[in-house]
Amino acid sequence: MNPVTNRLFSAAGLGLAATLFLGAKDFPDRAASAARYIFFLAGVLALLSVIMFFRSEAQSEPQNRWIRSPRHFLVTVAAMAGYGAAIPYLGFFLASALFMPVLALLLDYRRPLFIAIGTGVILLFVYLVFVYFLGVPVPMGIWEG
Amino acid sequence: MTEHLVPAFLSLLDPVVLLTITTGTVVGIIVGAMPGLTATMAVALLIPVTFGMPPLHGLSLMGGVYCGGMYGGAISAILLSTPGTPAAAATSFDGYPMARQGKGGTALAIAAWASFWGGIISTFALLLMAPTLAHFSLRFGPPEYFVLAIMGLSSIVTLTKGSMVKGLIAGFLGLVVATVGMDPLSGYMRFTFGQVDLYDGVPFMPALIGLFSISQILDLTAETRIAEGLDGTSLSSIKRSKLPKGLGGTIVQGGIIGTIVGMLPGAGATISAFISYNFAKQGSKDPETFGKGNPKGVAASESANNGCVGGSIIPLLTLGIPGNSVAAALMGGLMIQGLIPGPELFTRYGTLTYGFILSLFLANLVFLVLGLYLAPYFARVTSTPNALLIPGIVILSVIGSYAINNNMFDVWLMLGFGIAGYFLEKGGFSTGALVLGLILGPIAELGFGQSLILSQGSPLIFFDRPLCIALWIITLLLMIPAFTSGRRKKQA
Repeated sequence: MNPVTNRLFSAAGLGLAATLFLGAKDFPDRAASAARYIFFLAGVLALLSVIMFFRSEAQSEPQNRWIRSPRHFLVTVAAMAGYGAAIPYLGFFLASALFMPVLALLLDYRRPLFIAIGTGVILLFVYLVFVYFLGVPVPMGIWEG
Repeated sequence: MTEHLVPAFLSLLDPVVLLTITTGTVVGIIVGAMPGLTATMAVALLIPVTFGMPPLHGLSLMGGVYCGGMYGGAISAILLSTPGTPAAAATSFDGYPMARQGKGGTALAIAAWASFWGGIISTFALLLMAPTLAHFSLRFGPPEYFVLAIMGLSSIVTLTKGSMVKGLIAGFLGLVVATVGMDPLSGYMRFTFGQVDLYDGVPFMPALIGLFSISQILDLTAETRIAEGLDGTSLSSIKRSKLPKGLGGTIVQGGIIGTIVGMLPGAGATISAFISYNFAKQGSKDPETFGKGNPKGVAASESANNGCVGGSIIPLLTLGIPGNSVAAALMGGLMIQGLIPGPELFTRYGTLTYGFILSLFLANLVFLVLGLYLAPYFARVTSTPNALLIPGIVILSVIGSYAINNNMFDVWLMLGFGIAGYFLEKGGFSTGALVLGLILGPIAELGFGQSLILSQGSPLIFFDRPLCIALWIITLLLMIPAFTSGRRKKQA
């Protein structure tokens, strides 16, 4: 791992520790023991972050590529966000029926029959297990009666 | 006891009872394999169904769900790195790497055997030593729970593959996330930012699904299949592949750990699986292979989580104290049949109680047969194109996260944890350690706070009780190999 990246993680750790410390400082007296626990966690987190900051671990750690396939990674993240946003409006089943083929196509899969079968099988399975047997009230969106 | 065993055994020969055990186990496997569906949920839903059944039919149905559910969690953990139940989280550490190497079928078979023997060991303990063991579990107070949580947290040392500092940071990050929500002692709301959905804390299952499942599929976007080399011929080789040797000791050890930890109310299968994994790794001659597809990792975790089944029922039947949430739901099933936990269950209702205990043996046998038979077919999932698998897993992860509280907030939380988990893992921070901190945080905090109240602020309470001392010694012994191997590596 790049030492600069490690230092960025260290800075984030110190920032989190400081936030925890400041947050716990405002706890009321009745939550004094909870505050002490948070101080303890913040202290250890800060200490570990400082150790990571000063230790040169560049040689000992394997070099990772953050994102191996940027296009596929980004379309998957974007599709998941769009899917999550669409569920309350389109309902779980319609949103899922659109999400699965769209993401499969964006990931360069070009076999429509398999996509259709896969989507059907997954949605039928979800319906049978979650809705039919367990009665989970999935979001229905615009189909809400 | 013996006067009840023969009629209890004969009552199990009723075809309807055998059918209910099989049905319960199959339902349990399906529920267990689905992230977001828990055995507790399934048992709770079955309580009204069992009301109209004869007691043995109802109890054996619920027992089957419990046993099958605990095993089922391993299936998705191994094939998709998505633990169906939190207890199967440790199974994915070595199970998923095995699936990536085209050994998914073998890993599933190991999981089935380990779960079976773990379940058998704990059911024997339940059958033969229930009253004695139940009184032992009562000796665990807040200080012992705190030290037990520390013992679990020491697994961070085991789970860390690279930098120990990063592993510890990940573990402490999990402990920090676990502080969100209501303080268990004062009721004060911490770090909820006014978000009502966080009042009960960060929901564990969405976090787990995100950290294990979503972060993994984001990594899979760069590949075409989970197991690149797996094709039709590989499938037939899976069917012929033999189980690795030398797993017996690990399985027995896991079964015993699961039984003991399972008896402790509130501790549960997840902790036992991590502790067993830690024991297996530290006792191994090649600990560096753990996390890369070592079959012992799968065996240790699975034998321990199924070992909890019998363990959690021990205090339930003898004292009326359920060992975990599934056992609590089972208690509902007992009560609805008019059965009150206590000595009467083993005397007046002995035939029924021993019939129920014996039905657990059969449930273990059912999932073993099904698991071994279906393992090669389940393993085919790893040869499905990722372009189809990724959206499918996202859909199951979304519905699984949503189904816990019927809440879209949990879905967003799951996606957030998934993306954060991906970058943390890439940065060398173990998501396993983070999950461990998240699981053990509430137990450690509650045990710590209650102990200090008991001792009026003196931390000596953690060191002057025999069980605490024993647990500290075990914890230290577990950590020594990790540090000495690190020193040896440096010297080399």
